[in-house]
Amino acid sequence: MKSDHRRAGQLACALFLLALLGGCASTPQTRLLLQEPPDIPPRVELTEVPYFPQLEFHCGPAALAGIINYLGVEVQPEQIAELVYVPELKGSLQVEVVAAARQFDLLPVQLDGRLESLLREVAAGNPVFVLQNLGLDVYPVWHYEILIGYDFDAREMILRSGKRRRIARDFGLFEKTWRRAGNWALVLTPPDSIPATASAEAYLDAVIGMEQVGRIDSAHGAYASARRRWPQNWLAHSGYGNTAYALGEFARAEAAYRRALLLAPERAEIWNNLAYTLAQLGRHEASLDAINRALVIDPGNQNLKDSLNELSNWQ
Amino acid sequence: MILKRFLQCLLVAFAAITVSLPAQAAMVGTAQMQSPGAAIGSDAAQQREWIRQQLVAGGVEQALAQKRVAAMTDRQVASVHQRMDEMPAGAGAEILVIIALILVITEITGYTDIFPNWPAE
Repeated sequence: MKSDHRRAGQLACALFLLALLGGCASTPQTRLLLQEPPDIPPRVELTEVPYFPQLEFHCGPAALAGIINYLGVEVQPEQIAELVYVPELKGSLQVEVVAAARQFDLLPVQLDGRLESLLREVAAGNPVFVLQNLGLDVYPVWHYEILIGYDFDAREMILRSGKRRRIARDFGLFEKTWRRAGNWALVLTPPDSIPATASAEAYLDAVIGMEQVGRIDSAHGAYASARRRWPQNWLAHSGYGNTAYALGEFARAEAAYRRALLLAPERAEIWNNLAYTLAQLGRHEASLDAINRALVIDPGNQNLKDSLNELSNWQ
Repeated sequence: MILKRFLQCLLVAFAAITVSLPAQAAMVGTAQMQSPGAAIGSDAAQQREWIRQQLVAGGVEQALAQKRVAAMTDRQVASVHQRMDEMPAGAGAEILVIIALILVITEITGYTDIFPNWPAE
């Protein structure tokens, strides 16, 4: 019993020292932000983001409901809990949050982990879904919140959090609690728009996810947004082509693949898909030309050989 | 323990790559265009089943668990598979007395931020 106490005491001391050391941990992002404030308004608060008080442990569903309703889709936290809540974990996994957003045809776009990006999104009118670790690395207390504002003068982030409609958290403290949660943040966006700070890669990741779960109309719309924003991105054009093909819009698919091939002529798989598209359009010779171009690029590829075989015997 | 899990994941990943891509004529999907090496192949169905079982074991209704796994992409399935209990799940908090003491101190020193929400989690 005594030794138990001693062990507990040692543990407490060790944790305390660890915490003190950590307490001195720097907040480089905050420092940089305050030294060189970005060209955004000094104070923003998206007051119209709805607030749903969380039921016990249901911070994920409550925060998601706030953002989704803000985007014009009416849904209750209880409905979202059915998509994300795991009773035994008393919480919700990130992957399920991402998957749930797609169920509402909203793209879950992951941000780049910079504090400044969070502020830029809020300034652009996008509430940000953030994961926080309000506890310690050794004793995590995971919590989902919505970032709805910031105030440079007060050096505060403004959040919808759990059972509180509005809380303010110091920039530096937010940086620490956010960093302990892997700097994870999402902006949910309808397919016709792109978050202010999203990279092409992050956005396309989200669109590809949407396509993979079979929400082709939404994915197609989002690829259209992507190729408008990043016209030099071959993957955006290819995705647009693939979803056009899936929707039976073969002429549109052909045009998209040709755009992609101007940017990435050595991509055999685009030639392959163009070949199928041309076959669908009844252009047999052109289809065989395309698949042969693919085989020139990647002669050993058995899939392409099979494609040639199939396309040769098309109808 | 974590290392062991990590190695298991690696093994699963390698196994997936070596057995994946049975030769077939078809359109190439955008995900495969993006990362040709990441094809998951025949393990995906098994991994989905494993996750479904974990969700059910975690108290999710059968029918819902089925739907929820179906809503994940192959890539998500691969990322969750075998690691579910290590992943952050916001939010829950049951604090032991001794840790609570430490947290009071870290809270005062501006290192944690549990108590504005406590016991709201």
